[in-house]
Order: sequence, then C-alpha cells, then structure tokens
Amino acid sequence: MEISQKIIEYCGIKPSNVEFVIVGNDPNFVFINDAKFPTLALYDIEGNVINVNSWLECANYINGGWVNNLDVFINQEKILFFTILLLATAGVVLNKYYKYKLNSK
Amino acid sequence: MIETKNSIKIFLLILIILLPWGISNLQDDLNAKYINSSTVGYYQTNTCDISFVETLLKNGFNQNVTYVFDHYSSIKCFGKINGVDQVGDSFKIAVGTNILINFLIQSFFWLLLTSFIRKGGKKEFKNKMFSTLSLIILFLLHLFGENTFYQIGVRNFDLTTSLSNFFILSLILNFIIVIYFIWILFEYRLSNLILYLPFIFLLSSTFNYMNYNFLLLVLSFFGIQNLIETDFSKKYSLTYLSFCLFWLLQQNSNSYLFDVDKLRGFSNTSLNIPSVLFWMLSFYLLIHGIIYITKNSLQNIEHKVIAKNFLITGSLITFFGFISAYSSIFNFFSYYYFGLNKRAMSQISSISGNTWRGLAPSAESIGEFFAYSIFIFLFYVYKKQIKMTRLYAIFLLINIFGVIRANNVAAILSLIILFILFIATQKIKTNIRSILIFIIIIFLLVLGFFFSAREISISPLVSYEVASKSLILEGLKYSNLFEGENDRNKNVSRYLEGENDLGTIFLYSGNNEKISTSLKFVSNTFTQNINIPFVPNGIAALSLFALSINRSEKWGIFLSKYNPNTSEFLFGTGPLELNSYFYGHNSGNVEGLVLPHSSILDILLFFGFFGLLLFTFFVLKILINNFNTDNPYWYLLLFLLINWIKSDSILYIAPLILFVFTLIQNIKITNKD
Repeated sequence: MEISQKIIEYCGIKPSNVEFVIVGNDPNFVFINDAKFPTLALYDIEGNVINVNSWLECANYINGGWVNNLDVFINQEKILFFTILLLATAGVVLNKYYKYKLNSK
Repeated sequence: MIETKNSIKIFLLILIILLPWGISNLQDDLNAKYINSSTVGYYQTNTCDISFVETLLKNGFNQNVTYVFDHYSSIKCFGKINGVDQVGDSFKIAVGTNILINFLIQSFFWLLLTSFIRKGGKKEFKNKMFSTLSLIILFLLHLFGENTFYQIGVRNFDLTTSLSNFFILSLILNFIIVIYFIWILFEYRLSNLILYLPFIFLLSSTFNYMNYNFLLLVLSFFGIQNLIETDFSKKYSLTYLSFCLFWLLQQNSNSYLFDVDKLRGFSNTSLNIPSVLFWMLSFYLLIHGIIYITKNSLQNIEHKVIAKNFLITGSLITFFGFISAYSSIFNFFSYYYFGLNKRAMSQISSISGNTWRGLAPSAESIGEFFAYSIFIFLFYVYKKQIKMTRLYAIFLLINIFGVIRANNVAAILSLIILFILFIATQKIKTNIRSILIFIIIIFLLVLGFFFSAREISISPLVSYEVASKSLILEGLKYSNLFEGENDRNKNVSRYLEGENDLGTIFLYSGNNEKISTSLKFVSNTFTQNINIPFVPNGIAALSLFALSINRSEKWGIFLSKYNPNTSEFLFGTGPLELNSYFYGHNSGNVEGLVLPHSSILDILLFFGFFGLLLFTFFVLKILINNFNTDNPYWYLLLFLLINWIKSDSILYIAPLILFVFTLIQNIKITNKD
C-alpha cells in the first residue's frame, strides 16, 4: 500500500518497524500505542475529535479523510472573497471621501 | 511630488515581490533549515508551515536546490514550502501558489509598472460598464471552454452557477478590480503607451498556471473601446465574421487537451464551441486594441524613443536571462513576475550547442526581436536623430550578443542584407522594382550557399534528385507507413530514391489512409506529367528552398499531419487553434510540441487558403504601395515577412503585436481603419 503525501504531512515518516496496512472498518482491530509517537488530535468534517497514539493509527485515520487541522474544512475562497470585497469597498469609500474633501476645499 | 509618488510605487513593488512569499505563522516554533538529505523529512512533515522567504534566507547559497511552483496549493499555503523531493544530489522545493492570488498579485505588479509611464492627455473611455461586462463574459467563456486545462491543475476549480461558489465569485471580483485599475491607469497614459511597446517582450504577462494573458485582457478592453468609439472598417470585420461563422458551424469538438507548453496564454487548449468562440473574439479584439493604441498615440509617437526602448529592452532581456540561468531563485521570480510562458533557461550553455533562448519561449522569435531592435536603433543613428553614446554602444553590443546566442541565422542574415539594402537606398535613388530584384538575387545566393551544407534525415546523400523530393520524403517518413515492417524509413527512401516510384508506396496495404490529403496533393503535383522546359516543378523548388533553410523535416512533419477536408483547407480551423492539427491525422507521430515552423503555415492552419491569400494580398499591397526609404518600418516589415516564412512568431503574443504595429506604421492612418 502506498503512503500518501498527506499521511507523511500529518503523521510524519513511517517508522521502520511499522508495516503500513489499511485496517478499514474492522471492529476487532486494536491499534497498539507507540510511546515514541506524540499524541495527535485529528478532526473530521463534522468536527469530531480523535486522539491517535501511533503512526499506524494516524495513517489509517488520515486515509479515512480525517485531518489534523480544522482549517481544511474552512472555505478559504469564501474568506478571500469577503476580504477583497471589504478592501475594495473601503477603497471606494475612501476615494469618494478624499474627492469630497478636495472639492470642498 | 512626483519623486514621492515614485518612491511609494517602488516601495509597493518591493512589497508585492516579497510579501506574498514571506507570510508565515510566527507563533509556531518551526524554522527553516538548510536543505540537505537529513532535512528533507522535516520539510515533508511540516508542509505549508515555513515561508518561502524564510527558506531562501537559509538556503541562499545552496547550489543543490531548484524552486518549482506547486500550482495545486490552497490559498492558505500560498508562498509556503509545500514539499521537498530529492532527485540524486539535488532537491526540488515546491512553493505553494494559487490561481486566485496569482491573478491579483501579478496584475497589480504589472499595473504598478504601467503606472511609471508618463501621463499624457486624459482619454475618457466610453461605456466602461458594457466593456467590463463583455470582458467578464469573454473570460467566463474561456474558463468554460478550457475547463479541462484548469481542472487538472487548479485546486477547488468550480464552474457551477451558484452564489455559494466562492471560487468563481472571487475570480470575477478580482477580474472587475483589475479592469477598474486598467480604466484609471490607462486613461491618462494611453497616448504614451506606444513608446513602451518593446517592453512586452520582457514582460510576457502570462498569468501563472492560466492560459490567459494580461496583455490580451488590456488589449481586449482597448479593442472594445475601438469598436464603440470609432468608425472602423466594416469590410474587414464582415470578412472576419464570415470566417467566424464557418469555424463555429464546422466545429468538430473533441475531448483532447492540447499541451500548450511554451504557447501558454495565447493558444487554445481545447476544441469546443466556447473556447473557439473565446479565441476568435479575443484575436479580433487584440487587433482592434493595437489599432486603438496607435490611433490614440499619433500625436505623441516619438520613434527615436521607441528605438531606444527597443535597445534597452533587448539588453534587459539578455541581462535577466543570464541572471535567471545563474540563480534558481531569480529563475523562480522571473517566471512569476515577468509572466513568462515557460521557465527561463537554467543554463548558460546553448541547447545541444545550438540556441539559447534566455527568458523567451522561443529562440527564433527573440532572435528576430534582437535583430529588429538593432536595425531600428542604427537606422536613427545613421539618420543622426539618435546620438551614439557610450551607454547605447554597450546596449547595442548586448543586443548583438543576444542575437548571436539565439543563433537565429535567418534573422542575422536578413539583418545584414537589410542593412546593405538600407545603405544602398540612402546612397542611390532607387525604386521598388530594383529592390525586389536585389532581394531575389541575394536570396538565391544565400539559398545556394546553405543548400550545400544541408542533409536530409532520411537519406545520407543529398543530390539534386533527392533534395527536390525532400519535403515528400520527410512527410512520408512521419506518416507511420509500412506498419509492422523493419526499417520503415528505408522502405520510403528506397521507393523514392532508387526506384523513383511513389505509386508503389500508395499501393502498399494500409499506407494510403495514412498519407494526409496535403501530402497526397504535394505528391501528385510533384509527379504530374506536365513538363515546361526550364521551369522547375513547384514542389521541387519548394523542397530545395525548405532544405536550404533547414525546414524540410519540420515542413515534412507538417505535411504528414495536415489533413484538411476542402472546407477546412479553404477557411481554416480558427485562430490559435492547434488542437485539431495535433490530435487529428497521424497524431503522436512526433514527440513533444513540434510546431509547423512557419507563420505562413500557421496562417494556413488557422485561416485557410482564403485567409492566407487575403493576408498575402493585404500585406504585399501595403509593402509595395508604401515603399519609403525614410521609414524604418518599411524595411522592418520586409524583415519580419522574410523571417515569418521559417518561424512560428505569429503564435506568440508579443511578436504578433510587433508585426501588427510594424504593419500599421506603413499605412497612413486615418480615423477609419
């Protein structure tokens, strides 16, 4: 199974003693904690949080669409749109004000 | 006051260059590290956290790194390191960019540069709202038509019509803001704009990871203004409209994505109605835009200034080309801020000991530009209208160096011939007929000289017999004939050289369908039984000519692929539309982007035989009727026409604008085009 760039990005490079397997929805599988792996909080689109304690657990959750940062679910285009709109409106208002001041002198 | 304004502008320019790549989260404890094998993992784990500027500061002298663009980045990751890959001993650093941010940053950078142009009289643009709306519709047509191109490389690219689609809303908002600034900036600078024409060769202005060009946007705006304001010629517009109708009605859409490569920003990637509509309208508006600028600068045009600017631009192109080759950092920034279609060359040495294109996408077109610059400058020096100072002498040498490095032999030779012609016409009173005779004699001498040095890829022996068939031989070689047989090329050459039997090739099973209609026409013309004494066969003459100018292989490839039906041959497939040519007949017979290598053939492809006929008639009429030994543009029009026979310059926006500008300078302009 190929390790995606996203897994490396969120969970780090695979430790040499770990074999990467996709567990899927197997309810009997238990992830073994790795003392060397710093606990990491992952989130899904609904805002649920899970703490993962090993590289394999992290990789499986990432593979299932979880992320380590809720920013991923934020619509960045929407923020950009309103920021530019705000700046443009402010620019137009300031320009009008500047012209008004200039004319009134 | 002006100095303060300029200082603010320079400060803003520096800000636009540095700020987007320097934003980083200062609260985290992640710092940039020197890139080597041991830190690759660090960068791979901490993507989108470390800014590009931070990484540059740590790796300024790291010779093993090259910086590449990660076009698929999110807005948040813009300007940050999104990945590091080790390839042998070197490292590729991916820097995040995003189409929405690119559009704003690059537009503002170019608009700021434009703001340095001296102000002239005010020009009130008309129907600005209508112009803006038309440009937005045109832009949306482009996005819809070429959505395959954008879907591959643009994150969250979405064209659904919904008020919650903030991707398209942001893009339209950015577009409106940029057009607004175009209004403000150009209404006072339009009359002086023409003086800075040469700089379009330095600032190609193609948006990063877009098949769209800032120059095209500006000129389309002016084009609309020209249509609104002036009493333009209906004759040419109606002719173009009839061609447009044909292109739209005859459209055979396909799903192929044409890899535009170095033509990015000025070539159609997809073959469908919206994209064809976009490019044919844009092409029309582009021409009108150039006419509009020229008409509005009639009072302010100073050809000496233009000539000086040509020389300065040529020097800057060479200078920045060399810096880009030396420094991977500058190579990154030059691509982004000059809006290059293709990354600048990363080496000083020429490709296979042949050409060095520097910043330009094509060595041929930049060679023509250098030669053009040298001629126009020396013309005014000879006329004693420009004083040759030490500084200009250095610039001139840099331009000469540029043309030599571009290794465009045709441009160098035609420049020399042009000079001889120019000096001769200044000393002796002459007419157009004697000039044409002079050119033909020189032309034949040059061809004869180069003919002896050429070889045909398919045949080791270059006899007159073989050379006269060189186009057919090369065309057949690339026609995928004799499938499944060993040594297929030898089969082709054996039939033509030894047995002189073209018919056998056609009879061979499967061959007939693979030979294009154009190649069949050429072969039939070559083998016809009509033999007029002392008059060479047209195809034989063309083959000899092609071989002499080192174009037999390229034109042979063209013949193997160009397979039009009657109507396509007569009217073409539409401007800047190469998709049907590349993915039509014998697709995949050559690797990579092998262009026709002749603007004449490009015109034939785009506008068909009628279009080519009209173009030839129109241009030659201008050239002959406006013969003027005191007009440098007359010589330069001749120069461009000669060079266009063997170069694809029409496919690039800057050379095309230069050609139209040169053409217009040979016409006495009135308000009616």
